Amino acid sequence: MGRVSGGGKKIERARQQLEKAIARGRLDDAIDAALSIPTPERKGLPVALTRMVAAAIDAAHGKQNRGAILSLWDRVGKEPAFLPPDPEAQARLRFIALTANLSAGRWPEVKRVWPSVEPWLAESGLAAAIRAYVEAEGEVLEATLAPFALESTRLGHEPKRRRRDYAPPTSMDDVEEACLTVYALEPHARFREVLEAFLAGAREPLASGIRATAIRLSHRDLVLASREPGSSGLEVARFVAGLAKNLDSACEHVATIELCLRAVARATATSAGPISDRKVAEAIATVFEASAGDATPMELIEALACRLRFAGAAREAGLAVYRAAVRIAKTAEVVLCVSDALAAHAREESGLYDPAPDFLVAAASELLERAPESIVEALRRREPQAAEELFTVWLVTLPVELALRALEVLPPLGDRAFCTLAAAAADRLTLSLREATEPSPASTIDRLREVLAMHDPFTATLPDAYFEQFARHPTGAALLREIEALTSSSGDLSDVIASSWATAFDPLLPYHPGLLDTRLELGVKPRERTNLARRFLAERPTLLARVEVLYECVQRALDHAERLLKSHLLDGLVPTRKDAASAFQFLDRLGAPLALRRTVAEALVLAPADPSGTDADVAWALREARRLLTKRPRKRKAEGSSPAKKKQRVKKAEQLDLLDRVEKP
Amino acid sequence: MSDLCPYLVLELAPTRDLGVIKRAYFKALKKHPPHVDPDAFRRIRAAYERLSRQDERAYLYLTATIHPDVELRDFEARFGERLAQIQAELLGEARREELTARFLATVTWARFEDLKRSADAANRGDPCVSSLAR
Repeated sequence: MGRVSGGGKKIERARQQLEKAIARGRLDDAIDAALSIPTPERKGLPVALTRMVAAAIDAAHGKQNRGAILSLWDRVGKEPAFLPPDPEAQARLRFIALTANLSAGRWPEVKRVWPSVEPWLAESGLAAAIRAYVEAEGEVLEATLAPFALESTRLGHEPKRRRRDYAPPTSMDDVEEACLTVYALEPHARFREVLEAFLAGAREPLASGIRATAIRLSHRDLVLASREPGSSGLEVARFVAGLAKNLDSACEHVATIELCLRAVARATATSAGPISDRKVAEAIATVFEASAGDATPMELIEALACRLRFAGAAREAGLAVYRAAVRIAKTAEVVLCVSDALAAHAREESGLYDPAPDFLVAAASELLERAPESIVEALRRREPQAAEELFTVWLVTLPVELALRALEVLPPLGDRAFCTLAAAAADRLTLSLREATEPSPASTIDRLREVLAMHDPFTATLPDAYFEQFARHPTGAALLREIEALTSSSGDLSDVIASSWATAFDPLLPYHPGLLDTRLELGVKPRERTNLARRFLAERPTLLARVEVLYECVQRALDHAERLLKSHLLDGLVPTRKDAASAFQFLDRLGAPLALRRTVAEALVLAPADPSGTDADVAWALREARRLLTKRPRKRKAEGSSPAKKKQRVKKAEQLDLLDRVEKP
Repeated sequence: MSDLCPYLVLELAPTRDLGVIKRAYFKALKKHPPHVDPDAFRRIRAAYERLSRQDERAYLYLTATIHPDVELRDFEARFGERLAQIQAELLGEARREELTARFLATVTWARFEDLKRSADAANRGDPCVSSLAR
């Protein structure tokens, strides 16, 4: 046995590595080992290796992995020893490699492999097309490719689309052509993307030129979107509005901005509830902001803004929409509607009215100065109930001084119905202020407990129920008022109302018993009381109207107003028999207190008979009134005669004793 | 009745001009006098009343169907010709690119066995062959 040379050793080692790699199924290592064997020695590579190569190429083809086919073919394609000995199997692998190289445009390799594949496809149409394609290096007629292009869809082989790159314009002369080229070839979404890339790298005045051209071109898409069912074109509108916002000459594009507003109207017309999609709200905000800079008719913004409501994630962007709307259309309609919408949002979230944002306060203030009559008109266009609700919401969300100013300025501009509406709103404003400044019941009890405990630590241990009961008792209530006067901020309401009363509330006073009650509560001199009663009752020239308002006072526990009106019920009034009978029937139906019914019964009996005669209702009322007046009133029982009264008296004495202990520790 | 677009009822292009709306209303009345066609009159009257209210008119104007020919007149005048030219030039190129990409997709992922079998079938004159072979 002769000595093995150095080269022979190397080959031997390579063969060993090859066998090991094949055994382990490592194709790359096996190919490396095989390639380290010199070409003349490579003949007779193990069949297992050729099988592995064929299987790997097949697998890559099955997975449509062109990169894997090409990299494997680059290593084994030029060495026939790596390919299976069977000619058909060989042709099959060469075909796979050919097509991969063809689609990668690797023409030299395509031309090298093609002759060994062609005979296998000799008579097919595809072979003819490939042959034409290979020979012309891709420059073939469309007619040759067309049948196979259709076939790709049928076979589910969709080619990857190549994104075109567009060169941005470099001068003003290029702008239109560059934008038009993108516009001609791309859908609007891609057009927006490319134009935004153009703008990112452009300086003025080039950027303005691109913006203006993009707006002009997008005009067409807005028109087409308006004709397409189910498409609002809001994204196009947002893009256009975003461009117009940054353009000095935006007024040139009024017609396009109007189309953007149409897109907003279409996008929101179909949704039944409020807008909750943040992106939609942001798009609307952008369109509104763009409208602010040009000559967009205010009524279009007004028409949209008054119909828009936002919810959930869209609320913040919704606020931007309202801000823009108020900036453009500072009309009563917009200001009132936006107040209403924001109040509704706040009410849904917290159950309370939030103060109006600054932009709305500023707009309201300006409107009150500039065109107060427009607010009256806007409210009069609505149903009375809706108008009262809207006016109240507006007043309650405004700063107090501005709300009082509105109540001072607006009623003289309206009629009696408007004054009634304003008085009701003023009353609810008073209640709202009272609620805002009054301490909560819990803190009332705590404060009562604290004060009493200062003098007698024992009281601190008594249960809440005791203090609640004590606070309801006249003595406890008086003590509480003193405590509040000294410690709480509840004086704010009195101060605010008392100082503004003469100007703001006084003219409205005859229109609402709640206002009369508040006025009396704040303190009125005896002579003034009579005047107030007369002014109030002069607005109610029938006994029925007076009795109705009196009943409202009872219902709403307006004690001050009730007492005053009761004592002046017939002042300056001689009711007709019919009127008195209606009032009597009204009280009778409600089971009103006897004293009040007697007063009205007296008026009925004394009322002059109607010349037209007496109908059945009046006759019945007259009969009942006479019966009531001739009935002897029941005698009141002496004080303390019943066990219940006695018990009440003992309890009161106990509470007075407690108060005495507080005053004289 | 209220869901009919008032502009369509009055046969009017969307406008906010009350004078134009009024003229269209009287024209429609002449066409459909109340004593001849009371139903049409009611529709016309309802449409006119809706368009007479300023806030509703503005909103109806925004939601009314517009006429593309009118709206695109300026666009066509300015860009129409050049746009058609670019599309003719570049879309031809784009179409060719698309065809090539589809041809290569067909060729690259075609199975050798199918092509060969199809070729054999074509040789035998089998009518049920893929269009690849034909």
